[in-house]
This record gives sequence, structure tokens and C-alpha cells, in this order.
Amino acid sequence: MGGDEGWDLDYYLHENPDLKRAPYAFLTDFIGMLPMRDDRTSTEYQRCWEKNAENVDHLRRHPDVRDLSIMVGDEEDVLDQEFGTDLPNMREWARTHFRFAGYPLHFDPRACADRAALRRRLGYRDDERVILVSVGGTRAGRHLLQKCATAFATLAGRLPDTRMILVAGPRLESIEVPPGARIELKPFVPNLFEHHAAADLAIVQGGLSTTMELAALRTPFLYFPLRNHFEQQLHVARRLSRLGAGLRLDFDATTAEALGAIIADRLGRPASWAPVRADGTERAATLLAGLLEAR
Amino acid sequence: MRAREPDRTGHATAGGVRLYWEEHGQGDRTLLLIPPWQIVDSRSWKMQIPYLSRHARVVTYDPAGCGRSDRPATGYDHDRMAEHALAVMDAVGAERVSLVCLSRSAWIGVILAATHPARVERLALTAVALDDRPIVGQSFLAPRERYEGWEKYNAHYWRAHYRDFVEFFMGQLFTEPHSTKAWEDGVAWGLEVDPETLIATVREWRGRHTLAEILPRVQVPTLILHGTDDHVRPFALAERTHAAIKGSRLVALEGSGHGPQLRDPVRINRLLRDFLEPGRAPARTWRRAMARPRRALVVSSPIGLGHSLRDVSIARELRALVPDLEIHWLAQDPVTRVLQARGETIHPASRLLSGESAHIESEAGEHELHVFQAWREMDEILLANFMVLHDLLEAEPYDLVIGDEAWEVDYYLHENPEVKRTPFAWLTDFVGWLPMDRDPASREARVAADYNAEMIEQVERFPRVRDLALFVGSPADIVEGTFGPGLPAIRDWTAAHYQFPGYVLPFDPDAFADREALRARLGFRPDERVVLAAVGGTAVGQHLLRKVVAAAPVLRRRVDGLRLVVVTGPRIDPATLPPTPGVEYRAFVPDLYAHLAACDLAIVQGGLSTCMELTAAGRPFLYFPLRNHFEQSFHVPHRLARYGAGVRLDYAATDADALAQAAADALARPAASRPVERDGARRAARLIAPLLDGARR
Repeated sequence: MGGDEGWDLDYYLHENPDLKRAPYAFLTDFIGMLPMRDDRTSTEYQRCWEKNAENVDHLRRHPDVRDLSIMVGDEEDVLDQEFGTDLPNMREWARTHFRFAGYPLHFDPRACADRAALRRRLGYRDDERVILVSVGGTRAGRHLLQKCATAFATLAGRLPDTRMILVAGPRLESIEVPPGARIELKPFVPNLFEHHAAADLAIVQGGLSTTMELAALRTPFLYFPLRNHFEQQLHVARRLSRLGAGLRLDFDATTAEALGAIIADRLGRPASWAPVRADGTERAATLLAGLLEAR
Repeated sequence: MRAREPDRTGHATAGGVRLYWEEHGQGDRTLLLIPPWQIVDSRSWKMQIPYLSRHARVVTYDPAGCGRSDRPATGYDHDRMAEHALAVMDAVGAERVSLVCLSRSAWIGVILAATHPARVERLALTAVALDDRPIVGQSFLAPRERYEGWEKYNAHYWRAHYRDFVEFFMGQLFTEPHSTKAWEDGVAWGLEVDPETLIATVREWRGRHTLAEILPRVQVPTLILHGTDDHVRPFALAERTHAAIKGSRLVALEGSGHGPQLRDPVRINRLLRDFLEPGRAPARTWRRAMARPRRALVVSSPIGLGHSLRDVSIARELRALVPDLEIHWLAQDPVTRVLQARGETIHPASRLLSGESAHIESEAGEHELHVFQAWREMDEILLANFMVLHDLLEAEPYDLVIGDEAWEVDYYLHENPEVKRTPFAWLTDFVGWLPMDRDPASREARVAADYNAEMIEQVERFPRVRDLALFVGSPADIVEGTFGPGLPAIRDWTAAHYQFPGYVLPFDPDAFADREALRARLGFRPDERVVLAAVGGTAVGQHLLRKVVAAAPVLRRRVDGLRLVVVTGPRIDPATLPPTPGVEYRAFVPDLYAHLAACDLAIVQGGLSTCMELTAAGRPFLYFPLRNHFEQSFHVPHRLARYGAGVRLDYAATDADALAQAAADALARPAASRPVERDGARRAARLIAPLLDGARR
């Protein structure tokens, strides 16, 4: 069995280890439930503490449940701080309980290397600049789309030969596009990663997959971690800052005008960060294969 | 030996025919296990009887025509056979039974279920041979031009070439790979029947009922088990039976042949028990997983006491590493004596185990034990003991099973990986069944290679079964050569699949470094030259002891100050050895190694533990590998040669003079063997501990 952040499977197997009938591999891209505020008296802190303590206990008491724990990332992607009061340091604990696979991309970035051809295929002209805004599948993205549209309208005059594409998903109807702006609304684009590879600037939320995709493609991007989303706020942001990829922005603190200025500044500026290793999928598969073949 | 002897036996009589029956176990429920066609008798249920009889009264019998029942010239029709089954039920006083049928005895089952519904509670049909088509006819009775394949199913052929038919038929029965043992059993059983009787059972293969008429009349709960790779009776027969018996349940055994009760006994036993014992109540208590005490169960082979001694050392180290660990032992005599002497906890289910030591002794000759064959003959004991462990682990959660040469645990877990519910650490001190017959074309060599191939396939197919595999020793202790033609080199493969804690001594040799004090404690005077003969935990060694005792007068002449001490071990009564002046007998001594460390010369068999303890103590010793014992003949001498320890002698070729000469020579020469590693138990425990404690990963 494999469980990619299969928390249900992982929890109940540890609570009922005698039900386990097959080798089990657990995968995750973050370690540690973290409170958004470091107030040790808060209920949120205590809830996180309890969850982390339970997880640590589970693995100590029933080490046989997980035949393999894979961290989708590197050691340095785990925060170097304790899980909570009297609990282990997350990075040290991860070092002894996890194998690190690096980040697995779901595509081969080399396939997007010929950017000119890719742009032609996607209908992006050589002499235009494309800003791609996409917000994943949740409702939370509508406000970001709207803010981007407003920001772009304010500066469209200053940026000739530039258009913005909003991949809006089912929220298409609710976005107000200012008249005259070079903004296209699309419900969906197949192979978003190709658009990300071809675009001149991307604006996204703080989800790990999308931001890591952009980091690997070396496309400049702005990202807005969701408020109170500890994974986006803490774990993902830490990873990206380690890579030096993307510019983190706070949704509430960034006005449409400010966003416009940032867009103008970042548009077309080449990636400054080091290339991202692209062998995570292979490394994870090699680790998993070890469970299926004799050692 | 059998895994279990019957509690009661007797004969039923039906129409003047005497039928031998056996009763095993007790309970409110009675299960009647009916053998199939007369080519085999009630031993075909040998893998089911020990298990099912722990849960119910199990009755089985030899049908007319085979086994210990009469073999009339005629009277083998279905209806007569069904009357015989009723006669057995009456004889054992069973008013109502559940019937467990195999192949042809399915006819008996459906006839009784349809015509005597009050006497049949449930009906289990395995590898059903329910077919109206007459097998008898010209094809069976008339001579043929040739006899290829199933054409051997012919009366003329049987009269002339009965063995060849039986071998062919058993080959069709067991279609699963690695079926050598089941095939050998089947052939041996088949040859106990005479062809004329068997011809009569085929010629009279008929009855009053047709299937179309009888099957719809079966009203009792019915379970049908049938292999999809059955070459004797196609799976379609089971499907037809299932369709005709309303409410019946059919379980397809994918990849199984016509003898699943022998080849897949764990699954069959489970299926039968679940079906025959419906509505079993769940356990009365259940403890939350995170609140359970940390527990390990050790299954230690009783064949060679050295296993249990080293396991006790490992257990001690393990408890030091995992302080809250409780260790229980599933063990049998004589291991239990070692454990009791050390205050270890023996699990009460241990009393359910079938005796392996007694079996091994029963297979031994004069200083001779074909241990590979003896082990193969132990298959029903091993399965019975695996089922004890299986039930135990189902009822009580453990965190780890440690199996030291617990072959049954390793083998049946690989065969049934889905029943594994506990991490498993496997220990052994040798890898590779090596044939004594070095001709690679010999049957023994081919069978040994087949066992090795099966083991390799199991380990490579289900790497999860052994969470840890420890070779008690170092890579250099692994013998050279291959597992068999076309198979890997033993050393390379073992090095890749095992971890090596080094040799595990059951004691710290430093504790015995002060030999003077030790000798004083054991009553050995400084001026005496103590020659100690010891033969381990089974009674197999009694012949070597007799040889040593017989050589006592010559030894006395050759060795000044001789004191000859004979340790008989837990399973040899000193009273059975000849009282001889100057020979001192000691029965089982729990700290044999103290004696070994204190003596001037030891005379022993070729068992690994004793030889290695002598090596560690730096004592000279003569060792006599048991004849035909591949482990003592190949694996142990290889290791001892590496340490430069011991003098190997051949039992048959060594008379009293030669023995005395070798003893005198060895006493005159200082022992100069390489030191034995002392931290093996600790290293083994360090490797095992992470399976118990995630904080130690």
C-alpha cells in the first residue's frame, strides 16, 4: 500500500497495527502540524502539539506500521525547530524516520526547453509578454484573480504588448474584467505546466506543487500563501525561500496598485535561482521498488 | 512421526467390512474427515487433523480398500461407501456431524446430506469429483496400443506398471511448483494399495443416484473449495455443483491443484474452521494499540539446544536496549528446560506444540541422521506448530516474532504473507540445503536444489516477510558453492540478503577465564585431565557416548590422570548407558559451557553451538559429525576450519584405539584457534531493537 499524505490510512493503521496486511509506504511533502501563531497557550497550539505528539508516539511504539516513510523533498525542507514543547526537533526526527526523495515533478522540464516552439504551439507571440494567473481548485482563489485583473487594468497602458490570462476555473462568471484591458478569462487550460513554462510571469497561490513547478521551470512568479494555511505559510514558503525562487506576497497587505508595480518590475526578469533537481520521481520510485523486490 | 496421535481408535463394521477409525480431540461439534479415492487413506488429512482437532472432535477413517481397513474384492459403489461413513459415525457415537470431503468422497457427502439430513450439520467439499460420466468402460478395462499421459488410467497398465501410474497420477494431483514432498507422500501412500483393489474401486464407481437428482436435495450449508489449476477434476465441476446446491458457497483457489489440503494447508484450515465453526464469539478483551505492553515472542528451534541458549543471550541484550519489553517464548522440550532454568516466560500455548525432538530422534540411526530428509518428514509437525503460532498471534497482539531456525514460521509466512500480522526477525546459522549425495543428478541433490530454489523465490517475491534476516556468524562462515544448478552462489546471495552480527555466544568467556576456580567449583582437581563427552539436546548422540565409554579402558592407558565425564543431556537417561568403572555420568547440566570451559579435552558431535563454545573457551576437542547430517558435515566444519578449531573424526572409522590416540594427540597439542567474537548477542539485539522501538531507528 502507498499513502500520499493518506492521513486516514496512516492514523488508523497505527491505531490498529494488527489490521496491516501489506507493506505500507507513507509519503508527505511536509513534516509537522504547525500553529499559525506561536502562542503556546492557544488552543491551536495545543491541538497541533497533540497531533504531533501522537504522530511521534505512533512511530515510536509501532515502528512496523510504515515500511517506508518518504519525504518529498530534502532534509533542509523540514523546519529546524521542535514539533512543540518537549517534542523532538522536526529536522532531526525526520532524518531518522524518513528517506528524502527530493521533489518529484510530474513532467520532465527538458520537454519544455524549446520555449519558442512551446509559445508558438500555445499561441503566444514572440513579441508579446504573457502573465498567467492561476489559482487551483478552491473558492479562495476568486479574490486573487480579481485583484490581479484590477491591478493589470491600472497598468495595462504602460505595458504594451502584454496580456494577462486568468485561468479561472468554474469561477469564470464572477470575475469582473475591466473594459479595455488585455485580459482573457479561461475556464481551464490543459497541461498548465506548459503555459507556466511559456509565460513571462506567473501569479499563483502558495501551493507546493504549482510553486515547485514554476521553480523547476525557472519562470518568474509571485505567490500568495493562503492566510492561516500553515502548510503554505510555513512549509512551502520555507522551501521556496531556500531555493530563492519566486516572490512571496501577502494578499491583504498588497493593494492592486502595489501589485501592479510589482508586476511591472518582475515581468520578464530572468530567474535568479539555481536549477531545481529533477530526479525526485526517480528517487521516490527507487525507494518504493525496494519494498517490492528483495533487498 | 505424526504431529498428533489419536485419542481413541477402533473399528466400525458395515456389511462385514471392518473400517479403521481414529478420533482426535474433543468438543461439542464432530467433524468427519472422509478420505478421497482409495489410492490414499486418511493420512491425506494429516495437515488438517492437528489444527481442527484443537477446535472440535475430529474423526477420520480409512475407507474400505486401503489403510488399516479391510480390502474386500468388491463392494465399492457410492451407496456402500456412504453406508460405511454412517457406520463410522455410529461407532464413535456421533449422531450429527459436519462432513469434510475430498475429491471422490464428495459423493459420500452429498448422498448423506441428501438422504440423512438430520445427521449432517454442514458439508465441505474440497476438490470435488462429482461427475456422472462413467470412467469405467472400454477405455479403462480394455488394453490400449500405448499408454501416454492419462491413457495410463487403465486396468491393464496398472497390473503391469502400477508404480508408474501412481507416480504419474500424483504428478497430476500436485500441479503447484515445489511439490516434491506432497508427491513423495502420495506415491508412498498409493503404493500401499494393490492394483486389483484399486481396479475394483473404479469398476464399481457408480450408485443409485444421479447428480441431477441428488444435488438439489442437499439442504445443509455447503462450502465448495476447488483449485483452478486442478488437472484431475476441472474447476467446472465445482461450478456445476455450486449451481446445483442451493445456497452453497464456492471458493476458487486460484493456481491450486487437486490436493490443496496438502499444498495450501494454512488457507484450507482457515477456510474449513471458519465454515465449520460459524458464529465464533470475538475475544472478550481488546486493548488499544497504543496502550499495549511491548511484547516479543521467540520461537526457537528445539533441534539443537544451542538455538535457545543464544536466543536467551540475545533476549537479555534486547531487554537492556528496550527496557519495557516483555519477551515470551513459544517453545517445547528440551528448550523449555533451558528457559525455565533461566527464568524466562514460556507462553502457555507452548503445550499445544507437536514434538520436533522426538520426531528427529525417531528418524536417527546409529550416530546417523539424514537431517534433511528427517526435516522433510516433519512437514505435518511443522504445519501443526505454525497453526499454533497463527492462532496465538490472532488472539494476542505481539510487536515482534523472533524465529531462530523456526522453519515453519518462515516457510508458511512466505506461503501465506497475508496472515502475517507482526514483524518477523529470522535467524539462522546456515543457509542452503546441501545434499549428502554429491551427484547432482541424484534425487536428493535435485530435491535439495528445489528447496533452495523455493526459498530464494519466496524471499525475492515477498521481501516483506522477513523484516530482518540475521546470519549468526560472519560472511566468511558461509559455505562456498551454489544453491544448485543454475542457482546463485550461496555466499553471494546470503551476503546480499542477510545481516551479520557475528557468532552469538551464550556466555561471556571472560567469566570462565579463571579455569582453576571453575574447575574447583565443578569438582575437577588440578592434577586431573578431564575428558568430557557430551552430545547436546537429543537422544541421537547416545551411540557416540557408548563408543566413548567403550574406549574408556584404552583411554585410561593412554592418558595419565584421566577423568572421564559423560554428560548425557536432557533426553538420554544415564541409566540406559552401561555402568563402567572410571566413567562418571552426569545428566542434563544447565550450564554445559562451564563444563566445556573447564575440561582438558572434549568429545562431541558436530553440532555448531557446542563446537563453537569449545572454540571460544580455547579447549581442544574431537568432533564426530553425524553421518548424513549435511549441516554437521558441511556447514559446521567449514566454520570450524576458519577458526582453526577441533579435530574432525568419522564415527564409523574410529575404533577405541584410534579414539584414544586422537585424544592423546589433542591433549599434547595446545589449542590455537582464532578468537570467537564476543559481542554477537549485543550486535544482534542492536539490529533487532529498531523493529520494536521507533526511537531506535
